[in-house]
Amino acid sequence: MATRRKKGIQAALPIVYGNETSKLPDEAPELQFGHTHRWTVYVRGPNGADISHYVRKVVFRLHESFTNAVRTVEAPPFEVTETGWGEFEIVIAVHLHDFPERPIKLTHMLRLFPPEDQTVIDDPSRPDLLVMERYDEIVLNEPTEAFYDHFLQNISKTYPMTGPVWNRGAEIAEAEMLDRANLEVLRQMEELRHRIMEKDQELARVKADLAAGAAMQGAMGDSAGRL
Amino acid sequence: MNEVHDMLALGPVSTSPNAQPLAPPPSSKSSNGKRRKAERDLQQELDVSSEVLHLMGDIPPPILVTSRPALKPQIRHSRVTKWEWRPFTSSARTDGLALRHWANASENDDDYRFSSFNKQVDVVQYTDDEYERGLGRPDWTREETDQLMALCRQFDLRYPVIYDRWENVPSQPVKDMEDLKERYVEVSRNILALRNLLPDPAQKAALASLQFDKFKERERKRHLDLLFSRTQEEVDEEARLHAELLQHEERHAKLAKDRQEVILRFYKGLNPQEFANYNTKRRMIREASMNQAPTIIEGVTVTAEKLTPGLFLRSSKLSSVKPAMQAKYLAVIQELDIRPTDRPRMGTGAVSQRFEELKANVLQLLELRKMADKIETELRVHSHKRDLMVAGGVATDAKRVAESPAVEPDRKRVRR
Repeated sequence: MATRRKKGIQAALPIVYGNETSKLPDEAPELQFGHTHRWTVYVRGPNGADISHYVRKVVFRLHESFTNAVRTVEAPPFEVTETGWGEFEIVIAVHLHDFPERPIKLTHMLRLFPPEDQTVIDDPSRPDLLVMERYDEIVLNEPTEAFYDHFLQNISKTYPMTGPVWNRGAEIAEAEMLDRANLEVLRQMEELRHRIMEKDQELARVKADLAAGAAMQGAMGDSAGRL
Repeated sequence: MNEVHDMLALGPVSTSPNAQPLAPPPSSKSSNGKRRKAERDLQQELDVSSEVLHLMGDIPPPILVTSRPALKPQIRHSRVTKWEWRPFTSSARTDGLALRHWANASENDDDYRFSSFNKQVDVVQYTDDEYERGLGRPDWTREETDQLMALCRQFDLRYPVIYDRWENVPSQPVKDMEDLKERYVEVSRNILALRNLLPDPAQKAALASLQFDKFKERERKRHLDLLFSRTQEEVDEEARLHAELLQHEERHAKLAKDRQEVILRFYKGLNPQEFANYNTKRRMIREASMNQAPTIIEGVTVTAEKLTPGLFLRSSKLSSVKPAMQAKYLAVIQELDIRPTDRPRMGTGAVSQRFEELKANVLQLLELRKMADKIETELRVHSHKRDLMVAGGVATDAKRVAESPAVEPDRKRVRR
């Protein structure tokens, strides 16, 4: 294995994964089976970017009640569309071209109805769909030379990130928000440290008073001071 | 097995590769009669019913070894013997006392059974002449020496007892245990030398063993006493110092080794050719590093830190918050106008790094709050105590009024 590795380099491959759902129209034949929604679970690049230059295949493991619950998709678009009525967890394995033995494991809870605890993605380019999407990155520490060159060649397919939902502006906004929060927390910590120091000093004084008082009363043999 | 099958009204038994035959499988070699006999033998040997045998199958159970207690050997006499109440003497006694005991008539009248255990130490006996010749000493009189030897003989050289029985003669200096030991050893050695018996190896060894260093013994005992009377703190202190000493030595050794290495390298590296190139090499390296225009490629982070080569999902590397702290952590996050989630919305490298930083800071903040609370309650308790004491003592009411309200406002601030 003489492939040189790029030391100190960390390459990030962004992906979004999740599901889009729409209610079945009234004439749909699937309604007779009790299905209520049509949904698509997918793994894509952000803003529809192409990820097939490093993703070889994606395996979606659906609920057992689906026929052929294990769906392997070997060409883009890496998605599975089905109809159904239930929400369940889907296990997704993303296989990269260069790493056949190490798929990236993702889990996604399929949503047909807007959940209360999570925020729904508001994407103006997909107005009629309920979109539950997550942003994540596949990170490669110290990639091989070959991989890195390949990555650089295809980098324009992903970056710069522009789009309605996942874009540089959103990243910067979140980073700034976190920075502000960090500063505030650090400020509060400083304040607390000061207060603790003050109280500590005061406590030392009170303790000294107590000790002195106890000694004095002990010498005088005063029983009234016994606590 | 067959009964179970019948009971449950199951069909014929299915043969699977994993099923173990519960009944002995039919073998083609032995005939039916032989097999049944073997079964019956096994049954007899183990003393079990046929059903149990069928459950077990072909294999007899493993044998458990139980140890039987060794019983006292029983002396069985074939005939009745005559016993008599007989007086006896012991060679271990010097006064010829004749006690009586039951003994078998056929037993011979030899010495008492236990007299051979009466061992004595060989304490030397000296004559007056020998004493005059070589055993004199200014601080030991003849009587004292005699007394010492008698005690040693009586008590088998058990010095604590001898020392206890020792009577100090008023005109002579007081003797302690080391003095007694020393005197005994001295006497024994001088007697042997005086008598000048043929020095054979055994005697030589005996002579060599007769050494006693009084001062060393005293020191040793003193050390032991000191060691015994150390307090726990002293013991801990000593252990700590010892550990520190070891560390120092280690560091010292390492330093010496490094020094050696440097010196070696220095002498090895005195290559004139290398010297000539040294400056240019340095300049070239510096230029190379400066000319590398730092191009920022999006999606690529360049770090100087050590990275373990690997492939992972960024969100999988987020540190987790303990469930006990989870609620408090989220509460603080919400205070800061951030959505309370366990992962960032757009988890790029920069954002994730800040997210982790925030998490660590918030946890630290919670710790600080806890500490502040603790100190404040402690302060309140102690202040109250002091106020009570003051109130019962000399101070005026004014002081009490001045002290206690100072504590109250803090209380409101602490309750978050």
